[in-house]
Amino acid sequence: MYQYILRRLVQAIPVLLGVTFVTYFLVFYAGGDPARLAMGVRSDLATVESFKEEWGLNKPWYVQYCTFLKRLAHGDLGRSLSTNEEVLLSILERFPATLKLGLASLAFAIIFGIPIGIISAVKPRSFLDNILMVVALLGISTPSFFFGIILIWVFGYLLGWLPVSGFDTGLSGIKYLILPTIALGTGPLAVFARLTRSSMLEVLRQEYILTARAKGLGEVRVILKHALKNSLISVVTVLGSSLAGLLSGTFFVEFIFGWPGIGLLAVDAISNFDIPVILGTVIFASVLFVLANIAVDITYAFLDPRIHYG
Amino acid sequence: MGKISDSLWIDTARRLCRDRRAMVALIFIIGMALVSIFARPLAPYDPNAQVLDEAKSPPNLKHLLGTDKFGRDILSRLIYGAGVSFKVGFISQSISLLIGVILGSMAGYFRGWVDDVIMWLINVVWAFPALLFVVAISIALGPGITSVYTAVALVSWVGVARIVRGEFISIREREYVQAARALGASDFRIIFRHILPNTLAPIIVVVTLGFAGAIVAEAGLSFLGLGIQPPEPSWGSMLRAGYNFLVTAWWIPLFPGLAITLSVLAFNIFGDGLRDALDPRLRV
Repeated sequence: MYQYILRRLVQAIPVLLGVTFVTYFLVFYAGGDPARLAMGVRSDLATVESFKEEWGLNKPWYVQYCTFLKRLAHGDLGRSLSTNEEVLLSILERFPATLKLGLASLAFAIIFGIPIGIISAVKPRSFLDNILMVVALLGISTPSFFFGIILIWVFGYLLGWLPVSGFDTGLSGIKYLILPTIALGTGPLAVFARLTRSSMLEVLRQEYILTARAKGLGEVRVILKHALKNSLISVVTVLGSSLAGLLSGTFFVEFIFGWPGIGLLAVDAISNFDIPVILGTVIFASVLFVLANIAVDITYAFLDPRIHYG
Repeated sequence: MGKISDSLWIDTARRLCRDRRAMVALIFIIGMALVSIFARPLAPYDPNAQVLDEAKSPPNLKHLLGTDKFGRDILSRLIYGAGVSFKVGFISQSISLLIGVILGSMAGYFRGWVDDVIMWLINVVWAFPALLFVVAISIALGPGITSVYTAVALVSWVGVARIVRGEFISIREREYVQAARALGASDFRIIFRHILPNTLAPIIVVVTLGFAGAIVAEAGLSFLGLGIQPPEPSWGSMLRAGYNFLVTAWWIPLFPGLAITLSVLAFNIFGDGLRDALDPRLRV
């Protein structure tokens, strides 16, 4: 097991190198003169030169990339062009808000998605199943930025139940958390519901379920104890890709609700063309995603003894 | 393709026709395609014509879906916007199909170092949260429709390549492939004539679902201000321009948002139906 964990971590190294490499050159290069691009038209020659000096843009590309990696290893992502704050510091400062929203959305998706999947699977092709699955498909198809807008409109303005933006820590912050959580969590919720349903149906056909029924266990016990456990394994496998959806979704949802996380930081940076911040947030999110996926893989290996750590 | 595979497609079509939801979705998709092709004669107004006297008028007989803050007809803009979404979906999925099939079949057929390199590439792209990668690419390429479909294609080929590779690995050792090799068929012939046709079914499903992803990506990029630039009508940029008017003029953001959701829904339903029809074993 430890060997497996170690190997997964080692395998991640070339991937992470690739991620930083691609991001670095994408953000810095494809648009022409990166310094000019980053500093904008407002900049004079001296500022452009000093920016080039700072990022080593006068040197050959491999030297540049190595310098960048060295700085990255020291946690140095440069400074924001618009606020002059250290990029890593502002990311870390805003990360708790994003984490809070992300975890709340994930919890929301799991708490509602899995029971919906179970209910659908118990009576497949029934009226209730059909309705739930259409709603789930709608949940998958509605982009979070549109769903967020609808939630603001309905619950913020028409009904006036919840605040449409704001942030607060502690218990008083919960009212601000509800709408963004629903906006961000509904997509993964729908994915979990569909997956729980299909893997549950698969499991219910197995012989050990027949055995459990034959020995006179109640239906509730058969479903919740014998079937659910094994169906959940396949739900764990999509946790990784749901995290990708959550991470991308935070960009839009934080922007719409004015939620002060890294998503909002990134969107602001995009509109200001603040290259170091864009670079920093994309790399931060991708590294986070790679690590989260490793965690998912390891959990999966724990849950399913059939997986050979190969 | 011989007789057996012909009947696979006929069976699939028959099963698909019985799936009412998938048929409704297909009709919607065809309708959308026609609308985007015939945008010019269909649109009641010039999508960029500003009539400031009629700015922000709610849906009425003259403007069925109302007008935006410059008095432009929302219906006409939606009709032209359909073309943008379709173009992004079509071009991005064609490019991604091309890259995905070539790299995926090379990896699965030749294995060894070719596979290692391609898998590394796949894992790197896979390591990005997809939409973030699209954002990074379009920042690099600058705003505009070309960078939108390039960005989407550069991300979505990975899905195609993974599936093609997997199918190749399982098919390349089958007896009929061995037989072809024993008869002296070239790698090229084996790949294109004997293996690739048998991987078509899952590829079609991935591309259909990829179309939905492309529409969302275009809308998302334009919503962030990176995609289609105003005044050119696109559903995402209309939503972006309109969401501030939620309270005063709900029709400005609502209709573009609905257009995005409905078309994504149609592609998702059709993709689902197609998957069920192509492989009834997967159906639960």
